[in-house]
Amino acid sequence: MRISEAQKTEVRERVLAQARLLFARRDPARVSTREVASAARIAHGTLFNYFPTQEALVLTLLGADLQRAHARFRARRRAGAALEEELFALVAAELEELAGARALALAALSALGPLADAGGVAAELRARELALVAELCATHSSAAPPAHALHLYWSLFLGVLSFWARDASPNGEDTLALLDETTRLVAQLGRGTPRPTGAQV
Amino acid sequence: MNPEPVTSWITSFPAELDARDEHALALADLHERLAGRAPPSGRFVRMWALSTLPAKLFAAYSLGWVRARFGSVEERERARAEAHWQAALYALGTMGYLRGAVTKAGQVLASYPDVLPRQVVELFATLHSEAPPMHFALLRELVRGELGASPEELFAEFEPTAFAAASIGQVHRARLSDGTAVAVKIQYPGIARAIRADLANARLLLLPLRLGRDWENLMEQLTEISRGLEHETDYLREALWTERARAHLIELDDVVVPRVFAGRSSARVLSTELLRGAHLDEFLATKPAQELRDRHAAAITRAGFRLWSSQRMFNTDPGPGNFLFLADGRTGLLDFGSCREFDAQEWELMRLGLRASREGGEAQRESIRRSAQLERLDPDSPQARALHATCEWLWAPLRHQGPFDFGDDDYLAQGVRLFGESLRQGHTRQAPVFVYCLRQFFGVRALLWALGARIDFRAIAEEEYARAGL
Repeated sequence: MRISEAQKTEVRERVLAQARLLFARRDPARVSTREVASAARIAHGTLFNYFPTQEALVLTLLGADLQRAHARFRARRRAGAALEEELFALVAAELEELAGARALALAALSALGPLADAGGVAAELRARELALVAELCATHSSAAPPAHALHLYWSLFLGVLSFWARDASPNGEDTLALLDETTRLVAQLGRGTPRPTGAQV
Repeated sequence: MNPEPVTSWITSFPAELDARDEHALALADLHERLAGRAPPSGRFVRMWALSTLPAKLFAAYSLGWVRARFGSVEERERARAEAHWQAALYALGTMGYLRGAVTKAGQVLASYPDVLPRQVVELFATLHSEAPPMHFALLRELVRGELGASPEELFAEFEPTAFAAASIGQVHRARLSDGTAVAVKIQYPGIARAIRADLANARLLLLPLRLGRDWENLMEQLTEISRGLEHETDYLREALWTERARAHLIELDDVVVPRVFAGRSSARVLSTELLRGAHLDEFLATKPAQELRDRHAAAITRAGFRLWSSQRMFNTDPGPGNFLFLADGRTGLLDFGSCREFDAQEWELMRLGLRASREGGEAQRESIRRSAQLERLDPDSPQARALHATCEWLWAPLRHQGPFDFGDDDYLAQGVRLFGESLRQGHTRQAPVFVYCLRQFFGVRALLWALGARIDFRAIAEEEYARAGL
């Protein structure tokens, strides 16, 4: 029996919603694809038509969170903000969105690191993030950001995410200090100049 | 760390040097570089930075010494100026980076003109208002973490750029929904724990002295400092102190203590009524008349004695940044984060000091012996003579009939000399409460000196004592 695109979309969304619920209750590493399929009321094998691996499922959820965070970041952008502030605000919006999904973020990290497969959902997610960072850099500099600046951003972003997921400091203040330092460093490279300029830094 | 080198640096700083434009540029450059750093909160990183401060100062001075020894007279002066400036810059650089306890120390030193040469004082003084700022996105997250909502949600208006900065936070203007103008003080992330790490380092650095006879007293004093600095990082405590001071100073027409907005405050965020006025340097730049300067000096003095005698408390940080000179002639008192209340035993010591200041003689000897925590004190010993001289200096305004001239350079210089000599002779043993009492005594005198005040200090004190039944 053929199913319509609308039905496919509905099943896909149902799988994602059920997976999010399960991942919120338990470490994603301890949730099986069979449990996800059962919660979404589909056959175990059918799940793989939508998500070839559990990793893909986790990354898709993370990607959706990050996209919402990007939209929030854009809505909040402040005129006159320096590049370091914009980068900080971007990651802060992402962490705010992920606040209830630390375990999900941790589970996604291994699939996003430098040794991960370059293709698939992980690559899309990385490309989306870096395109936004490049766009921000471009608004603060006449030249495009050097490739190594974006690579460094990605490495540091994953480092901040990993630190944040385990940060036990009051109100995550250690993450804020780390993020502050990180984004200032990336902003220097992203601008292509050694010194901070512009508004308040 | 032996405290002696600190005294040596202070006394070896040259007295007079000319400011140069390139120094201002160097300072600006340093600030820009510092702006790229967050305060390091790891204990060993901070310890490394602290340990290298003496090394940097030593290098700057030894280089200057070599050049001065082999240069002409004119070159010698120039070399001294350069060495001096380099040392100050290095010190400021380290302080700006650490931002915590060390920066507070810089601010305390800046309150003592003439202990340090003018350029160093000016540099330290910049810490009152020029610490590296936090940008709005960081503030937003800090406020959200503390108060559960962003500044845009909590305030009708919020200025993203700070109008004042200090060692552990920065202050923003904002407006409540009812139109009230407020000052919102926000603390650097991690600074409270960073300060605790600094103090733990200080204990480690002091370990080589542990066999000395005053080791226990030294540790008690360090505990006192630790407690004071930790209190300064707790804005909820500051809110309570501010409210208490406000309640007891509200009757004084010449004094204003800002209201606290508890619903917009937490341990790391403090919202208070915004007072509009000039800071000390701006106020003095207007060349105010003697009468106006005296009015402010009298208000500051009376407020201090009122809290001391009726509440048994005092503000340990009378730095110039904590006073505002209002256009209507009133004085705004800011920042009650470092208040100290006396316990029963300390209050008895204060009462004895009060009696000693009035009577001298045996009461003075007893007060000094007990303040120095000594079983006995030979009245002819150098220590007794140094302590008596310091007390005579401290109590001179309380014993003087009529207006006392705090603007007299000789008076302040004498106090600084006595204090320095006392340190050089190793007389650091004292009841822990005096760590902050001395800071307050010297700080207030330095402030009154800067104002060139001529006020009847004794009359104000006695009126306040009488009011409290002392």
